[in-house]
Amino acid sequence: MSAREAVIAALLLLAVVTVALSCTGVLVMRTPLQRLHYLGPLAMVAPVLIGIAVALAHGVYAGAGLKALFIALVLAAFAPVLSHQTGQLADARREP
Amino acid sequence: MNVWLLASAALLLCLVPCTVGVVRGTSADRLVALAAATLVCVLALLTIEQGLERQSFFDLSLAMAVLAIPSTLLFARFYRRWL
Repeated sequence: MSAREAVIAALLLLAVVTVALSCTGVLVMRTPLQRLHYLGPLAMVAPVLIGIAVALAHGVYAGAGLKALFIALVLAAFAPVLSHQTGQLADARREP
Repeated sequence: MNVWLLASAALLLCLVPCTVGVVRGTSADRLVALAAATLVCVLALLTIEQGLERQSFFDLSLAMAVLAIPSTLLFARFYRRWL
């Protein structure tokens, strides 16, 4: 296993652990506002880690690497808006 | 089986808690779990494409990333306003 493959494997492992912890948090937390906090790492950390791994595998300027980094950018850009709207929904539906 | 397919299998396993979250709780709880499931699906698609070495499949996860998050966003707004 070369150094590049080891780095890719480590990035993928970090991404999978991040996703697993976030999904567990989404399931375990009690209120929707608490659950929303776990969407952040899922949308911002894991896609960037996987995007960097793909870019390392193909090269940053290759088509696949650029697309993977663009996917990470799209997810990171939309995640705060999604959290905001879902938080407003949760706040509107909260019992007084 | 390479490291990408192993990662995709682990990511697909992460859909289980999201699915459990989608089928129980209030509407806001379900929407959060749906958003999490969408994000996990995008990431799993990305690793599956890399594991199968089909570069053309990257467009699939790109389309899903561009379409799925705004659709969940629209659903949240619709649900808040009319339901």
